[in-house]
Amino acid sequence: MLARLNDNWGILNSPWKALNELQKEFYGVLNGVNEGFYRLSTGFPKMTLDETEKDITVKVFLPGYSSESIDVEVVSDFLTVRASRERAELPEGDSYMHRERSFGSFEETIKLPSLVQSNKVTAEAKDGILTIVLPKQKSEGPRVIKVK
Amino acid sequence: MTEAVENVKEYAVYAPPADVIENHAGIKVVLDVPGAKADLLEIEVEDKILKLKADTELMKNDKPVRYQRAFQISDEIDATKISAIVNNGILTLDLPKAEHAKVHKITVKSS
Repeated sequence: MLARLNDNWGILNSPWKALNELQKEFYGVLNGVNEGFYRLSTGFPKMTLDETEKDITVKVFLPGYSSESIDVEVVSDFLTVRASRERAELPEGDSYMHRERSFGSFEETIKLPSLVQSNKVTAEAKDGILTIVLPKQKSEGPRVIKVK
Repeated sequence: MTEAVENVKEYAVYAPPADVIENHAGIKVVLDVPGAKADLLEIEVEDKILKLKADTELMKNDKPVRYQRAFQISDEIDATKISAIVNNGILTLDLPKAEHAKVHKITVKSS
C-alpha cells in the first residue's frame, strides 16, 4: 500500500509525465523524413534583411529583450546589434523541470548590401522584434571629368 | 499526408524553445515566439494533446514565419483552465493542476 502511494507521489513530482512532447505526431510527414529534427533543434530565425531601392530593413528576433539592453551600431557598411537578457529568478516553490531558452548576450554583425546614411538609421522594438531601417546613400551617378 | 507537405511549403515553421516550470499549483510553459501576436495565436487541447500555433507577419525565405509545437498533458492538468499570455515575443502558458491532483493537507482533530 505504501509503495503505491510513493508511485503517486512520483507522478506528481515529474512534470514530463504530466507534460510530454509530441513533436513527432504533430509534424507527421515532416518528421518522418527528418527523424527527430524538430525535437532536437528548437529555435527561431536570428534576423531577416529586406532591400528596396531606397532603404534596407533588418529585423532582429529578440524575444524578451528590453529595449534598454539593445545596442545598434553602424560603421561604414557593417551593422552590429548587441543585446542581453537575464533569466528571471523563480519565486519560491517554483522549479525548472526543463530548460531550452538561452540567456546572456547576443551579438551579430552583418555586412550591408550597400552604404547607408548612418545618421538617418532608425530602430524600433516591438513584439520581440527589433526593426532597423537604414536609408541607402544616394549614388552619385556617373561624373564627367573635363580634360584640360 | 498532403496537408502536412503543403504546410511545409507555405510556411517557414519553427519549434520555439520552451522552459517548463512547476509549482504546487500547476505547470508553466514559457516559449520564445518573437513576432507572434495574440490575435494570430491558436492553442487547442484535444485528447490530452496541447497544440500551439503562432503565425507572424515576418518572412523568412519568402515564407511567413510560423511557430508550432505540441505537448502531451496528463490527467493532473485541468485542460479547461489553461490560459495563455503573449508579451514582447514571450508566450506563457499556464496549466493549472486539477483539484484531485493537488496536495491536500488534512487536519487531524483531537477528540
